[in-house]
Amino acid sequence: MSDPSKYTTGEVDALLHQGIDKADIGYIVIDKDTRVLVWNKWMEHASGRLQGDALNRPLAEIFPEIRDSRLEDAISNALERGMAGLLSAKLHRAPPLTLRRGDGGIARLTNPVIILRPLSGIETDRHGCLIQIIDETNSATREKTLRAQAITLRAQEEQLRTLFEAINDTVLLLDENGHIVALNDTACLRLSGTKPDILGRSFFDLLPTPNALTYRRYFNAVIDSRTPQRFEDTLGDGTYLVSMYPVPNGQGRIQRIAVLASDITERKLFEKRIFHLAHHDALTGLPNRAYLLDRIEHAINVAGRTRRRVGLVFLDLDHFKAVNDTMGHDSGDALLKTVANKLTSVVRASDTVARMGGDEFVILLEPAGQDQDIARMMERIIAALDLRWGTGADTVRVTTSIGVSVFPDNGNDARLLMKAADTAMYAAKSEGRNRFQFFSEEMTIRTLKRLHLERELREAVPNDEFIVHYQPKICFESNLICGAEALVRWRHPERGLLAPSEFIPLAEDTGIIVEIGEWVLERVCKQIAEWLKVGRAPLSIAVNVSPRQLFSNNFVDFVTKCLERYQVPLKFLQIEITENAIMSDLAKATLILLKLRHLGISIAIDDFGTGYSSLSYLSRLPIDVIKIDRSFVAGLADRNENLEIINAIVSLGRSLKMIVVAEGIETIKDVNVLTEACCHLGQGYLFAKPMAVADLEKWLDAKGYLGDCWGCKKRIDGDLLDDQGLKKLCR
Amino acid sequence: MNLSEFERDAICELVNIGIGRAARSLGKMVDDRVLLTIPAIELVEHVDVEAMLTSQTDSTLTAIRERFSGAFQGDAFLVFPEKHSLELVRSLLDEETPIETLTDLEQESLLEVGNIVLNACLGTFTNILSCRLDIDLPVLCCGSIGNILGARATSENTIYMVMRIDFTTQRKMIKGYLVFLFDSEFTTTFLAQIDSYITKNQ
Repeated sequence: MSDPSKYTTGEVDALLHQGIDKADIGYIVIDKDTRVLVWNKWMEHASGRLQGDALNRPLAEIFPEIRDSRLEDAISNALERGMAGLLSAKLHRAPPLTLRRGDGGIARLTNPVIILRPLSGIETDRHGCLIQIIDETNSATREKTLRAQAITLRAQEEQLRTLFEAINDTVLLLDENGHIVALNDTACLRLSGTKPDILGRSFFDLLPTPNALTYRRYFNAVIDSRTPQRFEDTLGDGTYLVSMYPVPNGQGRIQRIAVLASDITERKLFEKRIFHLAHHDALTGLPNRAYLLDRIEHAINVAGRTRRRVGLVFLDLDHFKAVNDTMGHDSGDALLKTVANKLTSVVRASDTVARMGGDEFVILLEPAGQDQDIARMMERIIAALDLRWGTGADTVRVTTSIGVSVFPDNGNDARLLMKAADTAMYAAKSEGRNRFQFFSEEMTIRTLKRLHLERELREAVPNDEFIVHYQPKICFESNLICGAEALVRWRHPERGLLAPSEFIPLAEDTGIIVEIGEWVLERVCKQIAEWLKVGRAPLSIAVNVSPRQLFSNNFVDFVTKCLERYQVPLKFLQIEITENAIMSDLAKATLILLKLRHLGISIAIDDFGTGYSSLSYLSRLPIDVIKIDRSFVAGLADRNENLEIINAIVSLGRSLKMIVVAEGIETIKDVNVLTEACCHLGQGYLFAKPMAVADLEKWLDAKGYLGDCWGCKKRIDGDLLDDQGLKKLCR
Repeated sequence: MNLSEFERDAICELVNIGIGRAARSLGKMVDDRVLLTIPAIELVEHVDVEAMLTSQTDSTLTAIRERFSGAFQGDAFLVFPEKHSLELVRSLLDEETPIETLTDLEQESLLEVGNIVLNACLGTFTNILSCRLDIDLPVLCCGSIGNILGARATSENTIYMVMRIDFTTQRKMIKGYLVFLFDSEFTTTFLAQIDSYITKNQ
């Protein structure tokens, strides 16, 4: 009795056939002539060919592409030699079988694996072959994707690695203990080792101790704060900008620290250079104004805390303009450099020498000692800067005027101290240069006074506050009156009558002198015209002309027009110019004087003997009159001082056929001496003070004045001249 | 047991005929990127096999094994040093695939190459010797020579028929070995059949 639970052979066969039919791989069984014996459902789907349509057909009829292919070889191997075969899609250019999925036939079986098994028949010649087709499309696609990803990742990694190596900066990757996990070539170079040597070692062990401490501190900070850190570090000759970044491991832990060190040595040098350029004078290399102001503020801050003094020294070269004008700017620049060097060598290392521009220098004394210490240093500077510049005849003596201000005495900020030192320096200049001067409150007062005066002075001409006084000149031979000098006075509304010495220097400095000078000239012309009008014998009047006025563009024009307007004969006007004014620009002065002379106006040279005029020029200048400076006359009578000079000037003047006038005559003894010396004319308190017109007229009337004597002039030509001859002489 | 020089040449010649077929087959598949030659054949003992096959620094081997049975019985191996096997696949596939990423798919390719080469050789034997062999599907095995040859390798007096096989690809020449290991009594059968073939054709 058979076991009812056991399947019969027929039942098993049915299940087996069904199993084959429903299998998830393709099953084909062919006979020895390759005719299809089995064609399962999978094959129906994959090929779109139904079982009924496939059975009993030769395989090559269903799949024409297998002819002369590796699959055909493998089939014949299996059928004829009993060899199993395996065909992997990968190796074949074309799929061994063209199969499509049954559903719509879209997806190709791109990667089928075909396995062939020879089957032995019950009769030996009735064998066959099993062909199994396994579709690996899905896994292959997945694999392809993975591989593509792997390739992309690898490419990215290689790019990063290339970048890593290409970076000129030092790049290191450290683990959480500071051991080197990765580094680039630049890092190897900096750490002077090879990769195998360095990898795995503690980064900090490779650095000099002080640097290692710094790096360690920032390293710990990166781990603790989980934020990047940045610092500058100096290693050897180089300066590095070091950045440390935490590198999270993807789960939030910091397991790696990236260290980047850029060599910023050159940048630092460049910055230094830029700073230097911005803060230093290009010519001398000294700190410039901007930098100096910084230093002063800093010095004041420090000195304020430490209760010390700071000195500020203003220097200005005397006669620097002369060097620039006569020897050229190159020579001027060279002089400035020399001065810069000398100053730097004289001061202490803690002091700062700066150039303000032009020929102005400032020294910051930090700290400054007592006034006497400063004074000693100033003396040294003045001595060091007392130079002979140039060669041969062109040599110029260069000296320095210095003003000093002190913190905290003269101010508590840079601006005030600078101003004070500047004021003191001007004081030193007006004291006669080549000296130093401490700032004092009086200077400020003086400066303020001066400013006040300047304002008033500007108003004086429009307000008609000037008047002209006249001081007559006396001829020593005839004892007669021979002209007068016009002298301006300022009738100050509050201070009364002011002498020229109280306002002329300021007028010179401010340029108001031109306006005043023109007013005086006009006033004098008007006066002469009035005298002529009323029938009074006019005096010939000498008018003082300042250098500024003389060199102003239209001076000759102005004189001409003035004379024309009042119809004043030329012989009544004389122009007085100081010797120094002429010498300040000899060429220009000569030209102007020639023009005046050509018009018929006589020229007097004032303050003769005080300057350094060259006598050879004197002979060529169109000059009619020499006025001996009052300083030679003073004391002449008592001590016969300067007698030789007087004699020399008079004989010089006479030999050049010039009239010589002595000023400042106060005693009869002066007159005797001067007469002895054969001086032509004299003026002074002995004869008359400068007088207002009304007083002058009274004085002239008292003397019975009938006109200038002109005797001296006649004497020059050897005989008496008529008016016609006189005119010729004047020209 | 020794092969006479004549026997050696005969077998070499036979295998070369088969290899020629294999090369043609491979060539069709991979655009003639590979040439195959069998320059030498040896009958050697176990120890020598090991020495021959592991002479390279890399002692890990890759082998494709096919079991055959019928007129004579045993295993045929195509053996490469591991790196060379992958190198071969790369050459055949002409891909820049890095060796480490070779996968099952490539292993299948290697199996097919083994199948072609081994079937070509065995097929030649059956043709020439007019016998029938049942040849099983190729199997891939890796490891030391001991792993590959299996338990039978322990037998001291087992004789291996070893042929060096050169795959000349565009890039390099890859050396592999064909190893035929007959089940104990079949070595003699095989050699006898070879001898009779030689006698017949002389």
